[in-house]
Amino acid sequence: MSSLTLSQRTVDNIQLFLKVTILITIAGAAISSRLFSVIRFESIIHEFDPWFNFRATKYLVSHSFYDFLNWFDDRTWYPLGRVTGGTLYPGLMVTSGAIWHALRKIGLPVDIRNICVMLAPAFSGVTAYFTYLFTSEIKDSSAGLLAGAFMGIAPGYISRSVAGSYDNEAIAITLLMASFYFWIKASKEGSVFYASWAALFYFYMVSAWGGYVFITNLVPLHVFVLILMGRYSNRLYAAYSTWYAIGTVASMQIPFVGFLPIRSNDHMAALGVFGLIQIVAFGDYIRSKVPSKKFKSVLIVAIFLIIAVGILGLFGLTYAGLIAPWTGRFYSLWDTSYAKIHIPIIASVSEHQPTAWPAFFFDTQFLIWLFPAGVYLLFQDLSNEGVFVIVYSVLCSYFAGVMVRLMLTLTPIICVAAAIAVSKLFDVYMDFSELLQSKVEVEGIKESTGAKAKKTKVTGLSIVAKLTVIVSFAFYLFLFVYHCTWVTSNAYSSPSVVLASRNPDGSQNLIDDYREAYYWLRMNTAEDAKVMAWWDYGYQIGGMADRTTLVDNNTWNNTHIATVGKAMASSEEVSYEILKEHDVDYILVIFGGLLGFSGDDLNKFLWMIRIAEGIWPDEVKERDFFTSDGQYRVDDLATDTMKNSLLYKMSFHRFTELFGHRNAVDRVRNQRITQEPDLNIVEEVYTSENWLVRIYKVKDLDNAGRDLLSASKFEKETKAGIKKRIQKRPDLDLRE
Amino acid sequence: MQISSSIFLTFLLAVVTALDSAKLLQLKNKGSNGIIKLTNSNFQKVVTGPRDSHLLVMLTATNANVGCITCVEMQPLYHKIAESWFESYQDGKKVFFAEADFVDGQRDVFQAYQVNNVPKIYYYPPTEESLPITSGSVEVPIAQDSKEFVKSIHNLIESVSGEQFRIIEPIQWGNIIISILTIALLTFVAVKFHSFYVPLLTSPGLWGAVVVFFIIIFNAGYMFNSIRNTPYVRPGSEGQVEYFMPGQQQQLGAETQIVSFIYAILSFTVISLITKVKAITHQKVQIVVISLLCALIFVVFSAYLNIFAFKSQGYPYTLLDIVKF
Amino acid sequence: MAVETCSTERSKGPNVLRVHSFKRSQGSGFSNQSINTTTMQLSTLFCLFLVSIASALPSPFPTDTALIYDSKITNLESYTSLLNYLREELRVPLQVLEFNSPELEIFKNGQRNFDNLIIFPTKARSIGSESNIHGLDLLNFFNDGGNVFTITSPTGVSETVRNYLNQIGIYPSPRNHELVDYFVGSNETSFKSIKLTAENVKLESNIISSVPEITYSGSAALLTNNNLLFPILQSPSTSFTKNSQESDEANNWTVGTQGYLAVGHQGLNNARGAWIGDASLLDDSQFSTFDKELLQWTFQMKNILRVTEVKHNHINGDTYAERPYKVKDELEYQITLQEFNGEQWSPVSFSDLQFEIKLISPYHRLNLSELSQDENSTTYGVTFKVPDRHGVYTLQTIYQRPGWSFVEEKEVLSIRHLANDEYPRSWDIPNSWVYITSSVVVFAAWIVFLIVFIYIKDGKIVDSKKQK
Repeated sequence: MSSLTLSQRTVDNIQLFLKVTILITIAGAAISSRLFSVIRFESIIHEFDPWFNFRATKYLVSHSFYDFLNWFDDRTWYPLGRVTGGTLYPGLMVTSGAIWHALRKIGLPVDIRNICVMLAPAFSGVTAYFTYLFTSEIKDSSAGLLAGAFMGIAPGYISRSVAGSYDNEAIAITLLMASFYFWIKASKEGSVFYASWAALFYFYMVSAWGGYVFITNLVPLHVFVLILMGRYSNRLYAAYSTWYAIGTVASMQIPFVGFLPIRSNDHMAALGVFGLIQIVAFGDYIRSKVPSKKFKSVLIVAIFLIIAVGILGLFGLTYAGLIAPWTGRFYSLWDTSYAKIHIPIIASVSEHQPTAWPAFFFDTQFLIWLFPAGVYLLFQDLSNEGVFVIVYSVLCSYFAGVMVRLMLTLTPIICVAAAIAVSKLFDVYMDFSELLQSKVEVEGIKESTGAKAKKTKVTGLSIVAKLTVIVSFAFYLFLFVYHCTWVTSNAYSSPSVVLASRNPDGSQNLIDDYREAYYWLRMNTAEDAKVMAWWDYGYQIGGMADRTTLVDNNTWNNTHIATVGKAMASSEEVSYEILKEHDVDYILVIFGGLLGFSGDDLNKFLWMIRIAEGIWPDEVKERDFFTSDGQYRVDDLATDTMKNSLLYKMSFHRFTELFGHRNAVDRVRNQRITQEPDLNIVEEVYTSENWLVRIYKVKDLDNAGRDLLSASKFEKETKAGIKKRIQKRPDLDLRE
Repeated sequence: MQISSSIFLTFLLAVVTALDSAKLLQLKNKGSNGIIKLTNSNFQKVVTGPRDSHLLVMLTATNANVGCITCVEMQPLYHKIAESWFESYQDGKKVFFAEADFVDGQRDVFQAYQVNNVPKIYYYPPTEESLPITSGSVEVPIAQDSKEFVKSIHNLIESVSGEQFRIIEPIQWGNIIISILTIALLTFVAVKFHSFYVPLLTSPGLWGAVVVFFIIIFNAGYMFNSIRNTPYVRPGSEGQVEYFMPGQQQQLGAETQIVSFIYAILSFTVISLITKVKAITHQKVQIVVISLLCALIFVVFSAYLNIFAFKSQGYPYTLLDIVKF
Repeated sequence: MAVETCSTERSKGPNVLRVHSFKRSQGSGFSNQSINTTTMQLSTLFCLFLVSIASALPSPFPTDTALIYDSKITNLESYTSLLNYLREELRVPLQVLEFNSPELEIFKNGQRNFDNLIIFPTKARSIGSESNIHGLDLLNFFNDGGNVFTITSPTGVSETVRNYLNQIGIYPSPRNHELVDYFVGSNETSFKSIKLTAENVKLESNIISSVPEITYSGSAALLTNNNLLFPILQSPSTSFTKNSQESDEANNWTVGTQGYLAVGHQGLNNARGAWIGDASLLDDSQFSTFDKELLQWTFQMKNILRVTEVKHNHINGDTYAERPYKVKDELEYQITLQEFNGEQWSPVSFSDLQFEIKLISPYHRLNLSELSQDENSTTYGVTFKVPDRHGVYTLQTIYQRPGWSFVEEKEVLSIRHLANDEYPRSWDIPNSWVYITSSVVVFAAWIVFLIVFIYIKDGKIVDSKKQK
């Protein structure tokens, strides 16, 4: 038997070839598993925020970059308008705009919508690659490949990056991993070059997603922990100083960020560590020149003093108003009851709810229990990079527990840590070199002694044991792949503008009411019509119906949102004044009572009330909408305030008619509706097929100067044939 | 005749029971912080009048069971205002502060007011006749923000009494002394016993354990419990105790514990497979251990999948059917 | 008022397309040029469309007028001067119809069949060939832009007219209720013929120009506080209404000045109506300037205001299209008004015309001053500074005075914030010089330090050490 010998170079080449092949396969898997929705529905933008991003991108490609930067959007937040160019993260739009222009340059004119739809899947491939690089720096390339594969298909990341999910997160996770990779590389090698790359990707990240603050805090925290562990080195100094200086100055170029990096508390950790590392560097320099044991203790005391002064100074400056205090969303991360009490608008967002444990498993399957093991293994030979992963893991586990949407930032590190665990396991159990050796031995000395034979036998058993481990974990990996595909296909591939349901016979029934209604608005209303709807639908109305909205998902102005909430929650007379003041032409409400769609406006009503109550505590009271025994009812037992509210009336207008005036049941709240609400100030103009979307037109002021209530009363009476034969002297106020 | 005599009696009673500021001062001094505690027995007398002083009444419920966060926030502020006032004017200058806390069991007070939400603050001007408690008062709106709250009450008192006073931030000497002592003690312990804990503090194993502990409980939905105040277990339809609640968006307190236990077993097994098994020199034992560990993972993972499939109906990928619901 | 968005005059009038209506569609603020042009085209089409259906507009040139009467109580022969005046002087095509005539259809195929209605008192409960015209129909006629002149009398208050008037806010006294004044005359008939004096005439309604000589005998009406009512004649303070069938004198409909005898009203759509409670005011015995003015006013031949042009631009003449407005810009606003006085469009002079720039509530409310006048219009204008707050503003002139047709000119414009290159550069701000200087100094010092660090060898120190 001739032994096969390979030169080192050949081995390297084969490895390279394999790696490239594997990475391409991972990218292919990552992209293709994100295409369910395109195949099932069509190339369509999903959900809510992506519609705004899409609209902004269209604006960018049809205007110049500077027009985009200075874009004043008068189609939203009527009549305040929104300085959109200065209040968005332009990274996403600029990226797709650049791709669009580049493709045109090489003669491939692609519709901008398709670029937007496909951007997230395309970037997920890149994410997998950067995860590979990152993990390779932590352990080795085999762990890297595993991490890349995990990242490619982990549902936690897919949830925000399926085709059509054109949101900031789509590219932000890629940039996050890239920044971290370059940061690790820079801190490992003390390389200014890599640190600059890290800063550059940090800048890109800042331009793309508000979550950049995570990097802003994680990197200094890493440095701080390393300093505390006594692992300060000149490499660390070079890397951090470069990253901070370039990164901060670059991030300030984004108009929306502006002076935040030096004024907001969110960024103070980075600044503080920057100061600290200068002092530590100085101390280190002095110590190298003045070798003295006493110096060390002086240094430690000095460091603690400086930290104390720094923290005091931070408090002082915040108190004096020079530094902006932490933002509301940030507070709600630490003090978990803060948002509930103070900022209903943040608490109302479903993404800001805490995470129950099934979500973790749902999004990462068996990685979730490999994750702690992987982190623990990093402690075995604690490297500087390992410290980074550990800090990241703990911090993000906490955040992901507090807010569902932060699962997204946790997923990468779960993949990395789990990949490290699996790869270490395989390192141990896939090591068959012993076996090869013993085989050679056996073959070499056929006439072996009994002892040798015994050893071979034992080796045989150990192969079985190893195979047990390998096979069982390979099985878990297979299961993981099935799980990911199943989750992606079932949970994360619905565009949410089109609802899918099952008919009794099992066939799929698509409910396309949203688009139907938006299209109706687009085709049947004046171009400058103002549409009032709850803020959830603002971006979609802007994007699909192209009509001016009062509030949208940007939620920058709580008062304006509260105004809409008040108009919905008040009686007709009060609402009408608000509607006229804001020139509202149409009102759009979502009503799920017929279909059994639980995400409708009546179920969101409490948030409208709460937000309105925050601004007008005397006029809107949450208590008044609950029955005396504290129930939220919409049937006959509902409170008068509830029955008189505009939203209630618009939701149930003509609802009983549909059931022949009896047995009208609201299928969401399972309550019986018997009375037809009396609606005067608006008139129904459109109701979609399944009654999901109802559009009302706000009536004009009465031409003859009456109030609308008596006007419509007269009309109804006349049509019903009621005649007043007897003339009574009217009870009138004295005419002035 | 009868009527007139009863009027006279009432008048007499009024004169007798009329509270002058001295009496109120007496009542106030019974309490610790310048607040008259309203009780079932005294509140009619204090509140209804006749009275020659201004009176502020706060109804509150600081009991944690009630869960009134505003009450807990506003009560110390109210006390602070009262203390500041008496700091400036020892004799009270005919302004007094009263309070009834739902915790103290003074239900009659709350019934008399017929309030269904707290905190509430009522202002009573001086009165010469006896008025029912609900009509003799003006409800003071309570600002949501604590600064605004103090400011509004401060302004109210200044305007009704015509006297100026300053809100004095009480210096919490007790807290400061305790903090100093604690720091001193800790420093002493830190210096004295540093040889004990320094190796402990620098041990990666300990840190690793702590970190893994936190990661596991966070990933098992600990924060969900602490934010939502989920119950630990719940009674089932037939009176039995249920540890699991169906539905992906909800959980019980016990679930977090069970799930984190499962995570711990699985992680520990994997770690053992990687690090500990190598150390076993006897090969047969090693092999047996490896097989056992693999089996353990399989079984526990199966159980875990069963639980998940229970929570998320229709989940197709389960292994062994170990846990039945 | 939807018509308002781009109105043109009817064919008989001067056919002036208002320029500003185009501006409005630009003003709704599309930054996208292509959309903008589409909008313009669309709005042009829309305008043309409106021109074709412009009959819906209130106009100084009435066409079809229907006179509805009840021959049982009205003898048309005594109204020859009225009919002559309508036919000869006002030149309105007049159809005289019995209240129950089958030809009486105020709406035909959903379109308004007449421009003006004159409804004389009727004994019947309802009007229409099969009593099919209800108060709501009259109201719809009015809301559609038709003018309605109603006359009731103690003998004839039909339900149709009463329901209609009640909705407007006029409550005429019921059947058999008559206005009486025991302080005049000496017998039953003279109690009921009340000579009105200047005290009873409300000239501030701007409908009639002089105190008429009127002897009134008829009903009186109660009025609501509706701002769109313009009382013309008020009953004397010593008068009251009395039911002639009942002896109970306590059951009065109006007492003293509470009652009104002639009232004009105008809808928000500028359709006009008038009510009088005595048909004899119109008959040959009393037909006078008062009736003429009232008819002219009701049939849109008097006190018609029209905006011919609204213009706004930068103070240097650049328009919004050329250079969209931004915060703190100095702007010029001009509005040109004319009045129709029955014969021609002529200039009009107001001192209380106001202009508003509002975002939810007005930021500025400014008096417009007269700038120039030509033979048939007057131009008013004002210059103002845009508030320092970007947003979607409404520039509006609202002029609503009794007796005059309402002017409501609104234009929605977006006012943008300062662009990134419109702030002063750092070196333009003296305060920044100290920072600029210090950073330059730091750069320079850094370079000097580098040179020193790299090129100057610390030989001397080595030397001194060696020497030691």
